[in-house]
Amino acid sequence: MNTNLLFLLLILIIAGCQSSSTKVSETQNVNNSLYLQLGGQETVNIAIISMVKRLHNDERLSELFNDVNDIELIQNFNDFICQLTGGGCEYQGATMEDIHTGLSISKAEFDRFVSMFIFSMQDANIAFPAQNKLLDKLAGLRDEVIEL
Amino acid sequence: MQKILLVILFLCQLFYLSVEAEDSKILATGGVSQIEGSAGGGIVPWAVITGYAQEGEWGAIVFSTLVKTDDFSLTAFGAAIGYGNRFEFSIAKQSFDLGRLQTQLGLPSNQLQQNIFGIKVKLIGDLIYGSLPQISFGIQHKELVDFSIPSIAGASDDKGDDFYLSASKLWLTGIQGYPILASLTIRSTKANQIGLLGFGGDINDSREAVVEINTSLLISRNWVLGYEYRQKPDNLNFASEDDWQDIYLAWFYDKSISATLAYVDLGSVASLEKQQGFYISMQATF
Repeated sequence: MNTNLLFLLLILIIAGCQSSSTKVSETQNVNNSLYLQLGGQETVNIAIISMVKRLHNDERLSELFNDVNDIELIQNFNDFICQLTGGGCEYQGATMEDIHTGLSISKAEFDRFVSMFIFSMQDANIAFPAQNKLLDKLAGLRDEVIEL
Repeated sequence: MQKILLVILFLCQLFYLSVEAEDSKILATGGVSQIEGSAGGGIVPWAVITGYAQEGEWGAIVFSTLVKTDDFSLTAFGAAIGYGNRFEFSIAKQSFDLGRLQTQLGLPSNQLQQNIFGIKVKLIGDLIYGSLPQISFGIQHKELVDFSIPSIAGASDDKGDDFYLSASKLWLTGIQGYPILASLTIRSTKANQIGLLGFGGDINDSREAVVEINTSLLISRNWVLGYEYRQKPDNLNFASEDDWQDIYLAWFYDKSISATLAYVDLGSVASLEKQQGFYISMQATF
């Protein structure tokens, strides 16, 4: 085996582990927040409006949003992402668990939502690294959303 | 016959147009088709299941691959289906062109061919979610079309089964927000040059556990840069066999089309040293 290359691989893996394990301690400083990396209120709002449109047009997920007030949804979605990414907002809505209990969201539906949200972030021209940092936070909420 | 099939496959890939790109799994998480037809990188299988199907869904892919080194060329093509992000069934045909070696050694033909039937089952974990990596078990059953040359080379069998256990993990935040995907595969095998030179041989005729690794960096939503290393047995007296490695760049146009370009280092193959060259592969997903 070529030891140099193996060593390099190990470093890459360790670097990956570290950066994913330190995410919890991400600074609360609003000026350096993921919210700003995403582009702040204006950009996040563009992504969310795109997402809501996509959800309503989706053959599989639209029925989950039939009875939802879009204005409230967009407001709550904005506040939620803002709070989640250290943007200094306060999310006033119900917990993720409360919202999704009884809906029996499947893994496939969750993944579809994530896939669609990636397209929405692209619509808002959010930078790739910032997209992934937000996806990582959303992925952490999966157990509060699926199969409840 | 085979060339015609390759052309048809290529045309299918060229003309296949994507209709609906927003499906379940995230782009690139189905991997591409490795040289033996299983979902993975270029030469190493990963724990992922081919395609983008999730629970209750089917997915299918076709692929064709060309490897060209200083003295040899290897073509592979095949198809695979994935079910429910749990099971994968694959079939592949490989043809290895011996080039100048045929006249040099006075061999009866200039080709080595084998058929590979693969199955992979996801056992536990998830590529993206939770702390456990996705772990899968797979079998690749390989049968040579013609045993005459491997037999002259000292191989014992014209067919063999590779068993492997693979663990794969994607870290979304990776390095500064660029995701990292790493795979570790442990394979039990008797295959000489992945089976093209038969199974077992005059130096060693028993199974050996080999390690295969892959690490890749997602540099954008559509581009993946990766490195792979594949340990190999060394069973034949007539020619020593080296480990393989490659650096690759995979391009995912969308969930229906991907192309992989690699620089490969196959080391010594069938007595000819320092076989390096390129690898190109295309995959269409349905």
